[in-house]
Amino acid sequence: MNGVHDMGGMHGMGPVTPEANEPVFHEPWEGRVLALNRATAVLGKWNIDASRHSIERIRPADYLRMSYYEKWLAGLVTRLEESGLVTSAELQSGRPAPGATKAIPLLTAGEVAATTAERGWFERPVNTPPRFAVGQRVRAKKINPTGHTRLPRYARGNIGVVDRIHGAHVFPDSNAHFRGENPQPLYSVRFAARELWGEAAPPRDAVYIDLWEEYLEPT
Amino acid sequence: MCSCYPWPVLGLPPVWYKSAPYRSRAVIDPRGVLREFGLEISEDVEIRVWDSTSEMRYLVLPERPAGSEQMSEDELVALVTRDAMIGTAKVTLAGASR
Repeated sequence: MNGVHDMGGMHGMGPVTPEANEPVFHEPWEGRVLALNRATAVLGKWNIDASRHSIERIRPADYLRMSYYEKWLAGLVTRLEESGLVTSAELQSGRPAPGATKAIPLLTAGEVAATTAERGWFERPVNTPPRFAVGQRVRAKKINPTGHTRLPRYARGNIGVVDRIHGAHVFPDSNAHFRGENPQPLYSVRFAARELWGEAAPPRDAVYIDLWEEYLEPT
Repeated sequence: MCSCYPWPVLGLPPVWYKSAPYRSRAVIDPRGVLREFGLEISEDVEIRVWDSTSEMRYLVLPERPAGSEQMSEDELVALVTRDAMIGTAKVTLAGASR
């Protein structure tokens, strides 16, 4: 979807302001939101792409106003409701509905270290060889899917060169909508800054973007 | 532009890394962003930006600073900063300040 989350190349957001000696969390609730996300991910009701898509669907004005962990909480609430784990009435009341059956396995303290240390693995074995080779010129397709996609708008329609092949990876555009993993080759594609941004860009600079095979076409 | 980050290696990302200014400008104006970190990159140096759109995670292998030739591995480790591995700082003999 062409959301405000896909902000690469936008102007007007102001300067980058690093904070000296930044704490891990600025408020205790931020840590709780992170923990809630990790604990509910273990329930297996969604995947990383569905999680990203739930955050992308925050209304643009809210998205830009909210802090990082506020967005995480909003996305989590969306996923809890959409997966049927919690009803909107329960969210409003803060209590389980009478007679609600929530037969889900609890994440116990002893299991936390193992589940949070383990990052998912997204490479999958496939039988078909990659369509494109290292060094080949490819064009990022000009597409505007209304669902989840990881093809940035600023890359669409532009030509780059395959820099490396990462193997076949889970395809976010289908996985986010629970339509299967559809694993396919993932390429790191080098785009010259001038191809992306025009002649005013420095001549030697480049942006490397990880792009799935369905995002690319031969030139 | 995603705010994905190598958590297992570098920990949770700083707020600026997830902010709209960084996410919007890193790809179109990396030299301007680096200038805000006090880093002026000469025109003859090629800048490569990695937009982390997949589950692959990237970090920068920092350039070894001049004058560090006789230093041991442990001494070199002490010089490396988080920002040097994100790519918004150079490693200097002054060592880790962040």
